Amino acid sequence: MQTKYQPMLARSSGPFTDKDWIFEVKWDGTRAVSYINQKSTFINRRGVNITDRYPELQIEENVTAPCVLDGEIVVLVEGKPSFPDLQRREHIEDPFKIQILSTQLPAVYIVFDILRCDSRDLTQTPLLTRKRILQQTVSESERVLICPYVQEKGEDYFKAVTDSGFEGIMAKKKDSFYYPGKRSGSWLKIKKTLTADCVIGGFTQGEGVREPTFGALVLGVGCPLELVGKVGSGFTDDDLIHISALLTQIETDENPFSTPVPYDTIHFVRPEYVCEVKYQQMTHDKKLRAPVFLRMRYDKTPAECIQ
Amino acid sequence: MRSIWKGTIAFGLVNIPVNLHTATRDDSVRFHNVCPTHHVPLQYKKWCPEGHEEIDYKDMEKGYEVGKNYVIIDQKELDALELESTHTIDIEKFVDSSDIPILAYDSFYFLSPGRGGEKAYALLHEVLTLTGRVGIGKVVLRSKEYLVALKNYQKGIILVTLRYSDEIVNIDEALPDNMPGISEKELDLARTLIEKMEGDLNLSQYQDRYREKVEELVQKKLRGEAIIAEEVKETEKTKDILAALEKSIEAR
Repeated sequence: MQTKYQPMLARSSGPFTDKDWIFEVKWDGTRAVSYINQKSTFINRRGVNITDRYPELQIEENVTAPCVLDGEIVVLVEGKPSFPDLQRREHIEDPFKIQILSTQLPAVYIVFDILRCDSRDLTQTPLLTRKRILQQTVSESERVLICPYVQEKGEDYFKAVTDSGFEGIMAKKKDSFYYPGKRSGSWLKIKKTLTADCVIGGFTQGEGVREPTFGALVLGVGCPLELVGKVGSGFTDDDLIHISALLTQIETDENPFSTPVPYDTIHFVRPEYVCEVKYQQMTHDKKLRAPVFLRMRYDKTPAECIQ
Repeated sequence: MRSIWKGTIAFGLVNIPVNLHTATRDDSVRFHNVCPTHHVPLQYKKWCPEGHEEIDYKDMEKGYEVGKNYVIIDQKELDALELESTHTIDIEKFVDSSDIPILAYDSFYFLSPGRGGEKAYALLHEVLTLTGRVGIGKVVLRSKEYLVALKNYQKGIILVTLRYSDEIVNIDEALPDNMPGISEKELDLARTLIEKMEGDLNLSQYQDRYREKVEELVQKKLRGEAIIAEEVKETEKTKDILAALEKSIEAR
């Protein structure tokens, strides 16, 4: 299939109720556009072909026609997506270990959109029509689940969904088109905790037990990179070792931020890695208040980190 | 493919932005030392055999061994010696590839064109291929300066770090002082034998047999567990949860 599609992106919002919108669970996994023909090819949001990482997701049997689908690859534990378990699948290259993990921690592709069906482009087709075509084209199995949605009642659904342990919901406008690669106002993400994807622009020297690794990560968003603060908590021992190994390889003397950075003992790095933090609020001078590190987001590019 | 370094190839007045990627990987079997009870990897403690005590990270010092004596060197002194990376691969000259002894080849990396450098990269690739020449230059990677060779490889260019000459052992050290002479007849015979055994190299025909055996063993040990994992119908559970959620808001 020749046409490549970038996944459509969402803005952030709070919960709301509106009859022109539908709401679905927000899945905590790896976003992937799939090209299903004789075989299934999965491309992540960085444009990397990740098919070989998920040999169990050869899902040609699940479709009635060649198609391009949009969805989220998740690992389900107790019926909920487990991001740590998915991460165990993400960074393995050894085919033997991939094979073993594909049976131990099998992935599920949660499909929520169809962009092309039988060589017909559907991006200019309204969302609810696409949802109908999706239902007709894709059948569910242990490996494929079509994401259900509810109409209008966004606030109720948000409460029910987050109470049962999911991270939030997506709101999508019923008559909206699919805008590949665009962050459009017709898709909104509504999350329980405030989180932000930030570019790592440096780290501060660690002290005590953290001396061999780092103290805090210095974070920014946007282009040019604006400093939004530093995060020094939420790291596991593995995170500390792993991240510091990554960062020392890309140390630079050049300050990647648009302004001077007021922290002592800072080591700048080239702005290549993205991490996700949760925080209480944005202060009026656009800094993160009480940020806590959640995880590295290798699937996101620095260009995606915007305010 | 994620790059591990970004920089520019510089020669004459030409600059080509490039990214560096790993080109080989070590797939050999690796085992971890784990605790017999908890099955977690063991941690290593820094132990002083003289003082019989554990040493903290921040108290450790660097020692350079000279005949079992250690010259203590401060980390700051070492840091001062580190070379600053200019992010440039400075090409000094182009040599014939046969000039580079095979033992000098150390590690291999792919170079890909950086943004805006596609045309110049393609041109350099083409000219390296046509002339069979190899660019020799220097680059600072991770604070250390490397002598490198840039060589065409299939559709792209590879960077090979080269060993310094004092790292290559002279083969004379391994050979007897006097090698016996060879007669014309013996040579003909050997040549015939080799011609009979001629073939094409297809690397994919060869596998690491030890690795295969270990993988088989691991697979056997896992078989019980894997089946249990597969039998859990996680997707069904998820569907039940989603259906219940939907129902709960209809009721409101």
